Order: sequence, then structure tokens, then C-alpha cells
Amino acid sequence: MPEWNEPKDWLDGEEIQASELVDNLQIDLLYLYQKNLSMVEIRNGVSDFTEPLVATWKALFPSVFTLDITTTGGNVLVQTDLDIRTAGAAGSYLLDFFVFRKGGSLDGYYLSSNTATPATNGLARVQLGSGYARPQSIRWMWENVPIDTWKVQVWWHGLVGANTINLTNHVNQFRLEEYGRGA
Amino acid sequence: MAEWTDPRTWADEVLLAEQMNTDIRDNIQFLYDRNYVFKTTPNNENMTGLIAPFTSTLLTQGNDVLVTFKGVVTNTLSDYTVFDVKVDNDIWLSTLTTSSASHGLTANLITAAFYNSIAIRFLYTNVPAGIHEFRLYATTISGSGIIRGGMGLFMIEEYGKL
Repeated sequence: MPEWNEPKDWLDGEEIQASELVDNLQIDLLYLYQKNLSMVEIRNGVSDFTEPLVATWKALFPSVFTLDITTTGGNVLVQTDLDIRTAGAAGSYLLDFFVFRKGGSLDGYYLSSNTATPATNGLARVQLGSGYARPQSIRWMWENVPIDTWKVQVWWHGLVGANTINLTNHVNQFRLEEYGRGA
Repeated sequence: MAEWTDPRTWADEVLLAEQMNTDIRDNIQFLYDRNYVFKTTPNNENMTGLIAPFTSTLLTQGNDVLVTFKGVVTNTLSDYTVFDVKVDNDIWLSTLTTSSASHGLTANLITAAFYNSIAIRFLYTNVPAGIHEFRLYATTISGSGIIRGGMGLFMIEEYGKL
């Protein structure tokens, strides 16, 4: 992934250097064309992933659903499209995104609150009947992300019933995209 | 945020710094920044009628605008929850007229008190250049259920041209 360079101010009378064109045209245009993306998925052919109910927050399938992104100082659009089935009666659960600096310990924060304590319902609360399956998407803008390399995970919290959470063996994706700074 | 300028056609001419700043620096910075605004709700925002936190204004340049909403809804009754977006306090996106469609842009019906994910993704084409206001509304078809949501993201982005 090309690195983003803040576009330079050009001055009358200066001699344009090749390195300036490389940084300000070649690399920046490649960055804009390729975009700063990161994605993982669980797709057909993999057995349903099942997590037993845990009445606390924990990472959802972190061996797969952990993404890295090196940011350049903008916002980051965080999205996941899951196909979820619950096994408990009227099972309900919460979902959130958890971020921390790569190489650091789990001293990060939840995006629902931007603190180490998530909002009451996280970023999404889902309640289904027993054995129901449903697509579940979360789309969230992580604002003003400091320049660094980060890890991002999907976290969940079971609430009601002898509930398990299954990611069905359809396609489940988790994506990051650096999304500029907006207007 | 940098302004977009239609890129010039270069000719055999003396290259001026002003041209490089307008056609290269500002346009590349505009593409990096993207022309969008977004609003998020706090937890359990009451979502009956006009959803006040979800009002956004965007200065557009004559292109199409992508309007998206992602959130979680619940209703105390087994009843429809309807969502629509009103532009400039005049035009409903469900009909592109001054009247909203009966089921708005999207409607959700689930068992009472259950929670469900809801999404709107609508490309509003040929939006005239200028400042435009976008407001998200929610209502129920019947009944008196209170509609509440988890976190929601309402986003307005100028998205190029068909």
C-alpha cells in the first residue's frame, strides 16, 4: 500500500524535482486509486463457528476477525456483515468494535464509547427467536484516528438465555477503509 | 477542506505555481478528504418522528449524493417502523416529491421488543450545487410503540456522477 503524503505547496520559480512528482503525483494517486483497505472473511466451506454464551465482553473469533490498518490521520470506516444464528430462546447479544495499537497490549477502547468501557448496548443490540438466523451489519465511522498501526476486532456480549452465537458457513466479512477527513 | 476544480487541459505554456496548487494539490487533497458528513446517535436515542441528531448539511458541487443510514431499531409493539429522509425540508427521498411513501425508504417489522438491524442506502442523483440539509425521520404505521435504537450512523457523501 503506498503511503499518503500531504500535497505540497508549489511556488513560482522553483525547479520541480522528480522526487516531488513521485511523492505528490505517483504515490498519492496510487493511494487514492488503491484505497487504504483491510478485509478478512469466513466463507462457505467452513463449519459454523460457535461461541458459548459468556456474560461479558470478548472478541468474536479473533483468530480470523482481527484486522491491521496503518492510518494517515483521517477517519476510518469500520464495517462488518455477519450472518448470525442464535441457539438460545429469544437470545440477545451486543456487538461492538474494539481497537488497540499494534504491538501494544489490549489497553484499547470500544468504538461505541471511545473508552475502555463500552456503551450500554455497544454499537448494536440484536435479539432473535430461538434458532433464528439473520444478516447483521454494523457500519461505524472511527473519527480522527491518530497516525499509527492499529488492530481492530469485533467483540460481543451475550445477554439473555442459554445462548450461543453462530457465524453461519455463509460469507461473513469484516472490513476497514481509511475514509479521508470529510467536509 | 480543499475545493474541487475541474482539471485543466494543459497546453504548451509556462507552468505556474497557481496551476499546480489548484489542479494538483487541491484536487488531490479533495479526493483524499472526500466530500461527506456524518452523524452518530448516543445509545437508545428515542427515534420517533424527526430524529434530531440525524440532521446533516453538505455543500455539494452538482453531483450525485449517497445517503446511508445504519442502525438498530426496536418497537414495543409488533408494528412497522418506517424510515425516510427529507431534503431541504421539502423533498422526501422515498418519492422525490413533497409527500413521503407509506412505507418510506424502508420499513421494519419484527416481534415486539426484539432488536433488528436496519439499513438505508440511496443514491440521490443530480443534486444541484449548493448547501443541502438532510434529515432522517422515523415513524410507526399504527400503534404507539416507542422506537428506539442502538448506535446509528447517518452519512451523506457526494459520490460522483452517473
